[in-house]
Amino acid sequence: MVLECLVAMKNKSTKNQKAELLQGTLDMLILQTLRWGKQHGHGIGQAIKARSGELLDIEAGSLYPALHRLERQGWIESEWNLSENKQRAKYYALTSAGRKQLTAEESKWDLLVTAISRVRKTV
Amino acid sequence: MGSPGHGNLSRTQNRMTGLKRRLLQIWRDAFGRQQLERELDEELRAHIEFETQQRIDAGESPEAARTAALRELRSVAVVKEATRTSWTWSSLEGLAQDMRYAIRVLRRSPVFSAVVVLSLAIGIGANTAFFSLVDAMLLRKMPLKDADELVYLDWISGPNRLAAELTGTYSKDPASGLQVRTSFSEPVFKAFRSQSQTLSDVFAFFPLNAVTVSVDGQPDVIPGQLVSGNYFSALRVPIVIGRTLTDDDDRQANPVALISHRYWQRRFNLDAGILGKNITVNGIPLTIIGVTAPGFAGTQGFGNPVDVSAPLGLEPQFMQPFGMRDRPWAWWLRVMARLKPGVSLEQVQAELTGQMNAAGLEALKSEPAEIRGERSGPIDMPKLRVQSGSRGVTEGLNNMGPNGWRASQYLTPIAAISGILLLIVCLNVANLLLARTSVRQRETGVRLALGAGRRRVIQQMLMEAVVLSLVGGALGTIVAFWQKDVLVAFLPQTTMMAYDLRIDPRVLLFTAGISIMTAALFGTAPALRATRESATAKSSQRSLSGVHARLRTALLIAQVAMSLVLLVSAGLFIRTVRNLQNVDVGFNADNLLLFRVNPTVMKYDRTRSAALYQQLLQRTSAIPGVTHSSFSDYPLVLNSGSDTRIVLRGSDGGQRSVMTPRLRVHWNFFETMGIPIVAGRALTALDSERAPRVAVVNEQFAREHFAGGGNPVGEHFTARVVTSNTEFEEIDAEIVGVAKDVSIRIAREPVPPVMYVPDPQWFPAFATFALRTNGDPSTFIPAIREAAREVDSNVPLSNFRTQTEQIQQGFATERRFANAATFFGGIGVALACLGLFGLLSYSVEKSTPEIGLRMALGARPSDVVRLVMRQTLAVVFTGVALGAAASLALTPAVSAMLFRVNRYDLWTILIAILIMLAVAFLSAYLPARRAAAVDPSTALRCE
Repeated sequence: MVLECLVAMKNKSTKNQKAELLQGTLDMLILQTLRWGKQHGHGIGQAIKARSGELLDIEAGSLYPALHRLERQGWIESEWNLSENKQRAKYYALTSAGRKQLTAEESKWDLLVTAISRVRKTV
Repeated sequence: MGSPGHGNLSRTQNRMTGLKRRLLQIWRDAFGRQQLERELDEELRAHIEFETQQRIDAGESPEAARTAALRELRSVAVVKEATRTSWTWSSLEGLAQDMRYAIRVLRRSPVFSAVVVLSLAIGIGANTAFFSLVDAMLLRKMPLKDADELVYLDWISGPNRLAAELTGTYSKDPASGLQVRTSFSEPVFKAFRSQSQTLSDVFAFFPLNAVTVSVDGQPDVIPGQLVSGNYFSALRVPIVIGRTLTDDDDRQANPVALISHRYWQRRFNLDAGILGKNITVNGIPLTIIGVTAPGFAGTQGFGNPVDVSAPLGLEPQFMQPFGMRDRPWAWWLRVMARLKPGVSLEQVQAELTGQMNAAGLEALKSEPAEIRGERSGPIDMPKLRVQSGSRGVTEGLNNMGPNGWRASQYLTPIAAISGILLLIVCLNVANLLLARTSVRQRETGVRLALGAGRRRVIQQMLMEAVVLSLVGGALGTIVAFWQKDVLVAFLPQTTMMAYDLRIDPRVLLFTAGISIMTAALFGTAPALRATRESATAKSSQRSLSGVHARLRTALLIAQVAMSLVLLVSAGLFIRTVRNLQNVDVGFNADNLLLFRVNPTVMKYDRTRSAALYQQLLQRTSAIPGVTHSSFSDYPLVLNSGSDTRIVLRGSDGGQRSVMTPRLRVHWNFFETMGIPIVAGRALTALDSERAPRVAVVNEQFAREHFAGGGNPVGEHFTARVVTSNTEFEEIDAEIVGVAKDVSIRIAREPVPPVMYVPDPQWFPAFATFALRTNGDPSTFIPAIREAAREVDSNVPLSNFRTQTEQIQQGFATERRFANAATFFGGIGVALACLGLFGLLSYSVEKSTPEIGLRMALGARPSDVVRLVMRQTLAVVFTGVALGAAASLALTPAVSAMLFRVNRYDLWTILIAILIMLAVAFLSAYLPARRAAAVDPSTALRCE
């Protein structure tokens, strides 16, 4: 069951390119965002968007399923709380298992990037 | 769940271990669905709020901001659904959802669902009941500990038996053709008991069949037996209250008895004061010393329960003057035993054969001459058989019913009917499910295109089949309980038989399993095919439906064929019953009331019995409305009776020894029953005890023994009338008259030769009284009971019935088979028609464009109707042809049950075919009309 994330990549050029993120990658991004502290769903989406320089705009239809899945797997946990403008929202935070998972995912990602770069260089 | 305070993450969740969290999750998934939904709702709403606020901060107007936020969220429902899919980690959740959906879908097609459920219920129910019957008759063991260690003994022998005098049942051994006997002599039993090394316990019993038990003056007729002292202990029968029987009780002939649990319940209402209660059994006073555990009903197998047991030591008192204990050459005991560990049946057989032969031959030394005379050559030594006894002696299988069939012989026809029905049901369910899948092909295609997982779609269809099966199975259980009573009605019924048929849960699971598998197969196999191919390819759709249509047509043809077979068998049985009913019994059977009296169990001697009968005759004749009153030992039209050996003395001095059925009757029997005398005279009151011995024979007797037109009147014969154990009277009697033939035995059988003898001149025994009444005989029963009570309150009357009922009992089973075949045939036809209707409707719907095209090109409605009808014809004719062929092939299998019906009864087949055709055309009518009503313009647009 491959969940296909549709991500709109906003480009300065007129062409609109859609990049497909694999499920694991989105998970990693979410975990990375939560490294900086707890955040609710909307906030996580905005954070990823901001830190990618507007290149990655995660749709709610991909984000929330991912959040719930991560929570089930035990890497993040949730808690209801009030935001600054007294809006009741569900806040997520990394668990210790999640922290470990993030480290593992990051090293896997680095390995992948290195491998691909090597292939690109030789071709 | 929100904590007060701002920004403080509660530490509790951190502390929760992973396992606890998992369990909590599962709990919430299964039961906290609503809360999860609510939370998701709120979470998404919060998202929208944040997004809106962000846009407002960026300068948009509130409305524009909100709209944009919502739009960006696309469809909240889609998001929810996507999120929800991540929830269905527990397949339990998915299954429950599928089930709810399936139920909703099925409720939208109530007729379809109802037909499938009913079909399944009937199939499961009928077969569960049948297999439970087989289980009870053939497989179920006695509810005793270590029942597998038990064995029972019987033997096979040629005609010159070692056991010349023999009491008990017999049957034929199919392998050798010799007779199988079940009784042993007391010396042989004692030899087994004292000498056997392979058996740890040897015990014996002697069935008394019907005994009269009197409790506090109230008589009752129940089945009883005499048993050896170690009977209950060897069987390891638990005793509920009181104590068990011991060898001392046997040896000392203690007047004690044990009763069954069901009798304790029925007669004594589980009264705890039962111990020490005094009762009389056949007039002998006994004290109840114990009650056996519920579920144990003796060792005589299915259908032959025993309610009271007394020690063998009392045998002389019970059986006088025909006691067998003082006749060591008499074989009368049933013997069972318990194996020692590690011993095989062959070892037992080898060891006991020697002991049996030795003891048997020893007893021959005291055998009286006339018994020895029964053998016409050297003795055929018996061949002992040792068989598993965990089911008792399984005589139930040999129970002979009123029409001569044994219980075991019914199993095959009942199996056939049940099997055919199950097949029809499976075919029907398969057909319906196939049809459904075809119809929903488009829907399935759309679902697949929308992205539903293939597995999910199939799972959902499987769920529909499972739901149908579960409901059908539940209904089937109810049907099974109802059916088992119907089935038991097929078995031989006499007054003493009682069938305790329990529905076996294993059987229920088995038949339910078969039905569920069929439903699952036909519910999902087509779905598998449908979802494998691309749903949008129209060509594949068409070819799939083509395959489906062919399969469904084949199934339908099979259904039609089988329904025809059932119809034909129904027709054959109905004709049989009609023929049996029309048999002329030869006497006036209207308004005759019959009942049974047996004073000999009360040890009434000849004088007292005669006096009792005389008084009963007087009292009953005095009842207003009773025109004639008489009795005989056996009623007319009964499948059993007594035979006597007589020696006819010819006028030429020659002697002929013949065995002839004999009926002991009161002198005015002929007048009461309306039997004309064609030669000589009837019996009169003058043919009393002291008068010369006489007899009246029937026409058949004259035909058989006086061939060539000789007149039996005036001829003499000698016979032996046994008066006690050791006494008999050799009489010389004269035939004084010839009576017209009447059905002595059941209507099916040809009239045998019979000799009527006057009651006072023969040894008294039981009697069946026959009263001719003005009007409905059953209304006289209370008056008769009252009269009997006045005469003698100790002797119970039993088995009240009219002569008409007695005659009909003779073919009750044939009638039941006719009813069953008709009923099942009707169901089969109905199901076949439903299937035909569905098939035609579907094909009409599918070919609507084609029909529209034809009509646009000038075809008339009648042409269209003919088209539909031709389709029907093809299916029905093929099915009928197959069914007719099958019927012709199968008829010989049931020909034993038919009566005066042609082996190849073409009339019945023709009528069945006509019925099938008529009903088939009726079910084709509606689709045909719908086809004719097609509007060409809309039809063409349909594509």
